[in-house]
Amino acid sequence: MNPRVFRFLTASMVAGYAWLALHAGNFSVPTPCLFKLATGLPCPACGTTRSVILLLAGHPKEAFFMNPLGIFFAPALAITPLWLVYDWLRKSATLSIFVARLERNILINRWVAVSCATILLLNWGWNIAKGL
Amino acid sequence: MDQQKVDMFLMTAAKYFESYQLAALREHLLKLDDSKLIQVQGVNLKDPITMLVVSLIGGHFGVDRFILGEVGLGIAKLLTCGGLGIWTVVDWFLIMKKTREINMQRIQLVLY
Repeated sequence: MNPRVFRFLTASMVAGYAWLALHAGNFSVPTPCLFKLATGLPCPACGTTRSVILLLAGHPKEAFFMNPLGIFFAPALAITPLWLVYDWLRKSATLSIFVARLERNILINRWVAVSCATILLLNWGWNIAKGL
Repeated sequence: MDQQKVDMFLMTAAKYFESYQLAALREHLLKLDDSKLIQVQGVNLKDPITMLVVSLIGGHFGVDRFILGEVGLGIAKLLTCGGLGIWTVVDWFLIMKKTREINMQRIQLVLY
């Protein structure tokens, strides 16, 4: 794997887990979100930490209503480190190839991009309505 | 391409590249066939200053990365509150260099 990609992914995983460990079991997480600090409005991803924490505490329904993105984040957080270790041990690049393919073949498709953007905007509207 | 055309192009395009790359770029352009001039001028180059402004305003949502064509990183930035706010700030300082790097990659596709 490209060492830069590997370092970046490892660093982001470490940061993600450190952030989670810092707030585990704590349902009122202080926001690191610059947008929210500046405007008072939540950004599209606000509430993801709380959602993951709720999910870990065994409240999937509350986690979904906090921010549905948490439901996608939890499996990604679980799988990526294992995948990184697998790639590191096998000296292969399956993860970066997978991400590159996803980027080049699927996300660049107009319909996929438009529908993802719509879902995110709706979710953002919901975030603002909930007053996260 | 003849010297005048190359120098004319580089005069307008110098801001898109790292200064140390300009000499090598000039060499390559001089060796290039005249018919490629349109292609070279048509390359979609991004202005580093514009990207800095975009990064300052929309960097939190990954807009800068989306514009540079790095969709995956853009989504990652968008979905993590700009990398917990840290990545946003880091990118304010890195985005101009990154823009010039990507400009160089894009023009190299035409040169070779």
